[in-house]
Amino acid sequence: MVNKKKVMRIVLVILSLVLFLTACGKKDAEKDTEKDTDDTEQTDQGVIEDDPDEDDKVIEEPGDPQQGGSVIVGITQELDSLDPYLAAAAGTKEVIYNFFDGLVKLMPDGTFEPALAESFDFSDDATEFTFKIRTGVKFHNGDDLTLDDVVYSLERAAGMLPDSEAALIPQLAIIESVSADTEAGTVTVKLKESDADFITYMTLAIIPQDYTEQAQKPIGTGPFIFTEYKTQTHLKMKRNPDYWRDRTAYLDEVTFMIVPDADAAIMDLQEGNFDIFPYLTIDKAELLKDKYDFIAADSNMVQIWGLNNQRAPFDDPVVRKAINMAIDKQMLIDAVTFGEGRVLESGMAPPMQDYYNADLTSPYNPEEAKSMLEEAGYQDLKIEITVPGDYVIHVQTAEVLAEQLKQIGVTAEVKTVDWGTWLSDVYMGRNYDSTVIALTFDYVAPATVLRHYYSKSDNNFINFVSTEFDELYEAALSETDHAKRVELYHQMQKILQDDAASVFLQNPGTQTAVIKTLGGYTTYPQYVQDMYTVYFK
Amino acid sequence: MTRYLLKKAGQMLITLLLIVLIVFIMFELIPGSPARIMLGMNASQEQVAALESELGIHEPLPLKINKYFVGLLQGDLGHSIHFDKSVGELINEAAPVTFSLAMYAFVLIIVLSVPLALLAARKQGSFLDNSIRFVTETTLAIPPFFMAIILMLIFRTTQLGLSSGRGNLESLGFLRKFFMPALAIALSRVAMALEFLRDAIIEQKKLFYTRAAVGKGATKSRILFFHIFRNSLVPYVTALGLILAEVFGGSIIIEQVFLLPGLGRLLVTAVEARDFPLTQGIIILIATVVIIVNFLVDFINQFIDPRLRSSDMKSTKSNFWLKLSYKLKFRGDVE
Repeated sequence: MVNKKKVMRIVLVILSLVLFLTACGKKDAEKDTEKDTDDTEQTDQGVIEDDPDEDDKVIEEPGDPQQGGSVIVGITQELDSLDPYLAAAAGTKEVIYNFFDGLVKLMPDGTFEPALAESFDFSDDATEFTFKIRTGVKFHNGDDLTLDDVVYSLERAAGMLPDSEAALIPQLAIIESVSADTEAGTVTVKLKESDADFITYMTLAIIPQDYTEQAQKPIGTGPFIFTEYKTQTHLKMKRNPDYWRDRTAYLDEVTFMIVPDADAAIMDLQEGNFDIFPYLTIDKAELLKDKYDFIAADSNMVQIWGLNNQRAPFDDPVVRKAINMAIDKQMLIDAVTFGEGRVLESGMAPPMQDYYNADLTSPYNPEEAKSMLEEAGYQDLKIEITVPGDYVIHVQTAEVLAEQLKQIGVTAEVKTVDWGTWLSDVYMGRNYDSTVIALTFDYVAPATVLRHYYSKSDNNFINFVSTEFDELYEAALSETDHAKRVELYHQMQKILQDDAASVFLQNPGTQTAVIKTLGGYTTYPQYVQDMYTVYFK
Repeated sequence: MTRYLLKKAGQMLITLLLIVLIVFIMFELIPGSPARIMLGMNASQEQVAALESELGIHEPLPLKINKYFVGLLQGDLGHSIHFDKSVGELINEAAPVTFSLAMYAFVLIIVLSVPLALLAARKQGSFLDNSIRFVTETTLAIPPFFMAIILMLIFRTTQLGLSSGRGNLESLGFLRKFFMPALAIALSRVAMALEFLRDAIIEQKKLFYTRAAVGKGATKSRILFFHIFRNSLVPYVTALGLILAEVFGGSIIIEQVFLLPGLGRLLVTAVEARDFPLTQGIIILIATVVIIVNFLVDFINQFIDPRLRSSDMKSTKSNFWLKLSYKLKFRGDVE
């Protein structure tokens, strides 16, 4: 008898568990739909306080910066090499930024300020750059920063050391020689050809000479010292007490916690596990507004719908122009980035400051697009859009594009491939019809983006050929007068648009969630998480 | 015995060799250059070419294979391309997570399946038997990753503090933090293990020695535990061996859902980055574990059932057939 009772109890427990399972599933489904409707309302009303048109700003809150405290930053990517010259992922660079200083520092407003160089000077033809190196600066291992370290850093990055085959930082491949003048305390860099953008590359991390463990234990002169890295888990750093600037960092310790999934990160944010999370999409902000402030900033991305200019039907400018007219970019932005992006009319983006040609416009006119295609004899056009499936934003964009193309009678098929395949087949192999991708710029150097249209470049994956563009591109590289350079870049962007090289879609915005007790979070035109300025209020 | 061991070891080596070769061929076939993936879109072709030659990507396949085996024989699994760290070190960091998770799930499977099987087998076809089997077979029908998502939702809404399994392996926190992922892996396999043990018990019950024991006046539970249960263990342990191998596979998938820093996540990153040495290293490790588990199952069975011990060759053979028949039956159950 006793046994039977026990048995019945077990059965009841199991049955109730099953009921519980189904009940909970339902509740969650309901909850999700509720959440969705809330979100749309949210974006419509634009409750987020930050004005997306205002660049790079600091949260200004009353409350003096407190010294001390530790902060956890959530990041969604696995890190690659911690060596500043070998790190390729933007997600790694933004973290290790805190360990290093460059000869110059990029400021929030896009200007450059001397850093490890006290001052710098360059020749009129932009082939010779001289840096006066700061004294009394110490590396994290206690060694003094010397001219030799600077020379070593530049030579290593430029691939000039005896055992290296190519430049580790491609932009530095144009360095002819680096020499130090011990008496004057200067380092002089000579270039093979003019490059007026060169100073922007001098944010390059300066590292101690012949230290071989950068990839595991990075050492620099920066405001934070590396303490621990556990693959797939976290990276920790502590305050550098001997920092050379007039003050050290405010925070004692910063942990970058790796959560490879943005949705899971939202859970962590709801639980208050992160103090800072840099990759928020605006639709999630509503869930978090009690605990977090949101800081909007520009991204360093130029999202384009790349058309393979060598392949039918995109080899015909008429098709490219018609397609340009058929895309409602604002609608696309509303759908994909919840309105947090800016419509682009050129191959550059507003964060490129005055290099961006803001005067260009392209009309949205699907009727005319349709008749243009008909006149040119295109009927039932079928095209393929190949997108890297790892990037949800590009996949969704391609789907919206395909939907919009239906109006002009074009059938677009979206094909997703993994990132590695995309790089080898689309980007290098150039074997595709069209693709959606973001061109990124590491430095505020206009050539990084426009190199993708220069016909002699490996990076010209859309196969764009324009001798006029090429001439302007080459001229701009050697032009040192800022106003003239700006003019040249504006002309290049006009050519790209007149020839409808591709469809320039948007400059997506980014949102960073910062817990309300923190202040000082600063955004830059470069993709970095600067922990030096962050403090507890 | 020595002969048997040598033979087993030989089989293991050949299997491993084949696995290594398959991964090599796979990497030759799939598109994507690790150098390009690492350096990104903005890198120049020269830069990519330089890195490729440094990594030896364009070397002929036989040379690559040769190099790899030379390294392997010296215990060197190579250097990860993506993480710029030695493969051994990376695996050392990630393996404890996967292994603990798999072991946790495995313990849960045993803890859940043994009592349930004993209950179910008490009276074949009874209401209790049917309900236990109905519930466990329902869980069998739910794929583990889906189960994981369901569990996550349940535990999140009920606020039991069993949130995502991120965190350290240290301390008691482990049991709490890994409970959900372990349960997600375990639940679908409980049905398999249970069915196996239940069938074996029912079969044993029909045998004469059971009747003899009853005749001797032994109590029901004494017969069940000391006679029938022990004799039912051989097929159960064999099944557990297969399940353990599957649990490793399962934990690799579940790690993705719960974002645990184990081998599974490492493997996905490695394949995405076309990080050949790391992929190869992880696969070798997993394959070795599975092979060793299977090997151990043979041994444990011989320990439980002395009849399987007898002479070397014969035992291997009969054991093999025994195992195969169980395997077939087992598969049949799954389908």
